[in-house]
Amino acid sequence: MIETLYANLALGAGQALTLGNLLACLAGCLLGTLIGVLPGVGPLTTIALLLPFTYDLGPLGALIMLAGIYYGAQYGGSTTAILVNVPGETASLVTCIDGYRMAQDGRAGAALTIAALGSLFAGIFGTFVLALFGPVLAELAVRFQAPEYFSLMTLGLVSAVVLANGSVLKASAMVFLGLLFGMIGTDSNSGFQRFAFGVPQLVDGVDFLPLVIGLFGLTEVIRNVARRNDTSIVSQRIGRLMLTREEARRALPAVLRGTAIGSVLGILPGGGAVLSAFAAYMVEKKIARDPARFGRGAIEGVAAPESANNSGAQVSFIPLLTLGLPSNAIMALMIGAMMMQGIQPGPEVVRNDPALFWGLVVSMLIGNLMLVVINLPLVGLWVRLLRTPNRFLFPAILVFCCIGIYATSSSTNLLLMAAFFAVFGIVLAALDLDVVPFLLGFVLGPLMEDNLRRAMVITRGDPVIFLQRPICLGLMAMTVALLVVVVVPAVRRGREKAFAE
Amino acid sequence: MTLRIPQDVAAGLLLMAIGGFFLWWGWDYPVGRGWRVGPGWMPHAVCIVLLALGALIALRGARAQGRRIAIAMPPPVALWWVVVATMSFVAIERLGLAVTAFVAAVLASLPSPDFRWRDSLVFASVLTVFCVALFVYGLKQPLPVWPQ
Repeated sequence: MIETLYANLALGAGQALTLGNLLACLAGCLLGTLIGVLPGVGPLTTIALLLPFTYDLGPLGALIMLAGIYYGAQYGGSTTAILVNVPGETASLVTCIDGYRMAQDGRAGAALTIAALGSLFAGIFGTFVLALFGPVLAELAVRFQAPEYFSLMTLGLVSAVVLANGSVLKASAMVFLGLLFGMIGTDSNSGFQRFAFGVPQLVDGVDFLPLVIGLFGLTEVIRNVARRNDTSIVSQRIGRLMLTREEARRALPAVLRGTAIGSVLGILPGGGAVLSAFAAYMVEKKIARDPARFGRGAIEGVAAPESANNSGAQVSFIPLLTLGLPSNAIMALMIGAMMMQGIQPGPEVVRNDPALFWGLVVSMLIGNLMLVVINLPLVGLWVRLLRTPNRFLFPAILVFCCIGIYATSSSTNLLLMAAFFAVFGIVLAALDLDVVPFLLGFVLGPLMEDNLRRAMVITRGDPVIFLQRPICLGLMAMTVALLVVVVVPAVRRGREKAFAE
Repeated sequence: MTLRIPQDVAAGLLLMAIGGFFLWWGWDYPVGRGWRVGPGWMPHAVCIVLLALGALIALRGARAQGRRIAIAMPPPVALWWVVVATMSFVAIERLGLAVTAFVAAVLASLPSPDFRWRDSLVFASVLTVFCVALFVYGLKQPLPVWPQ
């Protein structure tokens, strides 16, 4: 098994080490760090924005670059959190608490170092988890048929709802709203036109690009363009980058625990970097001998969540690459990127296109190494970028969004569609309706319906099939168990407490 | 911005309105018979669930009337000018990237509290040159540059 791993990594290295793909990796990591540093621009916005321009990179180059943006943002986010007390990226929210205190105590250098090295360790560990378990899971999933897929997607959507932040009821409603929008256009089974409303552009369905650029790109522009920059950004003394012996002793186990937590939680649907970071911080606080140190510059409070968000980001690729199931909004965008390149995400990817899977794995190892170099010595440069005025940054993002939409389609209708989704996104946010479950429903909806109808054809309409096939039964049982868990009040209280922290 | 009705009531009503509208519009889509699930089956099912969930959310919101939630809304001018800037980009087919990028950049910077004409025009010119260089000459995107 180890030998096949070597052979596979060699195959991946051959793919990832070409000049073009190395550049794609570097570009992704640089962009990821950049937007990770800038508050208000997250990986979701950036990936949505760049999707159109990855067309020409080929499937592997596109995935390498987009993945680099995701895990690169986990590195960059910590810089702003530590130096400015503003999360550059949602997953770095908890890093602010102790990281900024460390900076005030003149230990910003140590906090940045442990964030970068913890992320490096976690990123490499997470990538190996992906390399080891991905193919095994894919092998298992190759035997899946329509009923299994339908059960799997149901489980995915239900757990995304359960793990989502906020009201379960509202998150479920948003999944269904996403499913509904996914149905617009010609039905693939019968050729019947649904909800086209007489608009010719809707006959092929709601286009993915204007939807994500409107919901995740333009809404961010609307939210931030009229906001003044944080004037509190003063040049911080960074201090020595080296850790003291005492700090290293405390940080090391925290890095290991954070990495482990991220590697587990990242795989879960609805999981990923953000959930992992929150969970890791809470665990550290729970098990610390002196919890009062947290909030006052405990290095564990930086080491654990920063490691967890990076391993979480890395392993959240497992369900995507092996099952074709997006576990969070970023992975839903990745599915979009794969489909745009003509790749049907699913278990066949690992077997039929090993160069793609292993090329991506090796690029992640290279990318994580690049990121330490990009982040630590260049930290001064990134901090200076924080002074980019919002009144220039966000109009520029808007222009890039518009160019992206028009360049891929040469259709001005999609621009109008994007404007519609921007307004829609603002309305939803005002009503506290989360767009992430909406996006997952939108992406998975057509696949789910297709599999459900195929399952019904196989069995001639007997729903008992979902209970007769062992894998189906298992998945359905897990779904029901999750639903029960949400309804039980005790668990619900615990969950609310967890998100309140 | 504050709304008179509680947030959850508004959210529930919006979801019900969308579900109801789609259900009404797709009322005569064939549902299929027996195991031949027709193209109308899923839409009907999803709309009905959406109506039910929307009603639940609205009812719970109405019951919890005691606590009002301040709604964090971006300033309406930002929404307005961003939408206008995006729509203005439609002119790219006629006027080309050089003009539309410039106009969109200026329009989108109007809502900023620190807006100054001179800064904004300089910024928009730089951005336009950068975009033409990067996207048209660098990335070779099929975009018209000059007015046709």
